[in-house]
Amino acid sequence: MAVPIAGIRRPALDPSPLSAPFWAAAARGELAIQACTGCSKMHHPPVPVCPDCHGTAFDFAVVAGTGAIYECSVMRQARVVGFEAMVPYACVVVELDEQPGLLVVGNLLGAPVEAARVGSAVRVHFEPYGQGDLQLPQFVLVAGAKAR
Amino acid sequence: MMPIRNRVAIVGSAYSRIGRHLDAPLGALALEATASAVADAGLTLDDIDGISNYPNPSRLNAGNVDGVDLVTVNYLARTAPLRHLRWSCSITQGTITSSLVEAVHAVAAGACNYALVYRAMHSPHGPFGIADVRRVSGNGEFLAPYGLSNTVMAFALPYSRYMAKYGATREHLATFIVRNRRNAAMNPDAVFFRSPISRQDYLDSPMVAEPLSVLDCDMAVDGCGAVVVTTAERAKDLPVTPVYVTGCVALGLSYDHAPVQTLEGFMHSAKRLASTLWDNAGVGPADIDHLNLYDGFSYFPLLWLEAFGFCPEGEAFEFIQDATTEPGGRLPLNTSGGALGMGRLHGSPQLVEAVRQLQGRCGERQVQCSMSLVQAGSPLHGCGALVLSAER
Ligand SMILES: [Zn+2]
Repeated sequence: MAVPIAGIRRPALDPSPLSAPFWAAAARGELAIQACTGCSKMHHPPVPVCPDCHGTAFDFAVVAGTGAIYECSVMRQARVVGFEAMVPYACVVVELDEQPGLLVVGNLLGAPVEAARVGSAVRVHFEPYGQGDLQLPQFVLVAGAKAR
Repeated sequence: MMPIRNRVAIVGSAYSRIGRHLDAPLGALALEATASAVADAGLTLDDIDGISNYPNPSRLNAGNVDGVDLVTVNYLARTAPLRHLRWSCSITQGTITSSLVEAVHAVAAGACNYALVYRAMHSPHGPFGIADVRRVSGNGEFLAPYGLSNTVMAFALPYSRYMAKYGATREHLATFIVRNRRNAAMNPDAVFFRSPISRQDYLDSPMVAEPLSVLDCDMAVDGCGAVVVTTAERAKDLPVTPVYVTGCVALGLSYDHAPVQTLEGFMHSAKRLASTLWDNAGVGPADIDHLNLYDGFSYFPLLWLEAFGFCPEGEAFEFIQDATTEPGGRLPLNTSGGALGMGRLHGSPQLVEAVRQLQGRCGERQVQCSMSLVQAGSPLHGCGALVLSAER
């Protein structure tokens, strides 16, 4: 069971063989996305078979961790057990710069929740998960960047 | 392919009592609605030889007691009882409309003669929709660590993109919300009967997960909706006004690979479903004069208006501003009050309303219509849509 971080109790994470490389990279402070060795297309969450070429061989490519907010929502009520102390919190869906439509989820940290806006430029930031040496990819605004 | 084209008819429809928290167990409400729908068709339970539903409990972390938290076809078969069943079906995702489409096909194929279709929903006391995820694997690994386990938040995401992409605001949606509640105010079956709200009530309603507020979510209720279908030929022998199934489709698959629902993924699947329905029915948007679009979350009808081609993509929030979709307009929308006004009944407020409007049984809220579009469900999680006609 994960231990609370600043009053937050995240669910215990049980990585699968598919997702383990993602979490191992995150523990090193790297955002790594599954990439098909056959056609180079990146997929998130990781897939067992490439939907583009049906290949089954993959690498995990370290990406820049930059992108723009594609969709977002601010939770205003305590409706998720373990996250009561974090309310209000912003969840952002980030389209990574490396590939159109490649989406990764995070919380927006280091800014008021009102700053979570579709189009704003963000970059990855890692914080401790509260379970072993796991780290969680999160996002912060890129200062001075123009929204897209 | 052999399209349905009015070979099957809906001949009975009913609701149980509907309320925030009723004293009766869900099993009793399901018996009430299904018996009433069968009686409405001029039939008896012994005539029913087919049954179809979507059984899942209506909320996260629900119990699993048959007759309390959900009502399976097994429960109804032995409790009603239905002694002459020859066909049964429980779909794994969707709403009442998707299970109805299965029944339509079963009747058309001759698997059964009179199929009963229902959706029963239980709303227990206490907070609704609290997510409590202790251990995650699969797609949840990329959502739950961020507190993104709540259904409202998951569905807020595509709407955030719609608003940003096209410039839609809560002010725009207020027009639909207020009108929906005005429709519900004329519907004695609705949980919000005689309780209209103002634009300001909507704009002031507390946010759950922005941009969705409490009044953007349908109201959880105890209740059940039910219909009976048979062939158009058999319908002639019943003492009822049949409503014909001109076309139907049950679909709702995600074509995109992403950790969350996206606006683009929603629209891709919704347009696929819409074009399939128009092909199957042999009609198009210009033939429709009554709209019943699923409003489990308030913004869904905007996306469906666009997907079905009633207005161009990205314009529905403007399309709904004039009187076109009001009860006296060219395309009255959700005259029952929809899920937002009638209660969280997974498509029954769309389906039963269409049947009764086409039969001319809606009293104070009756509109002039001859061909009704019914859609309920998410294009990414199972969805059923039908064109229903008063004339064969
Ligand atoms: Zn590939």
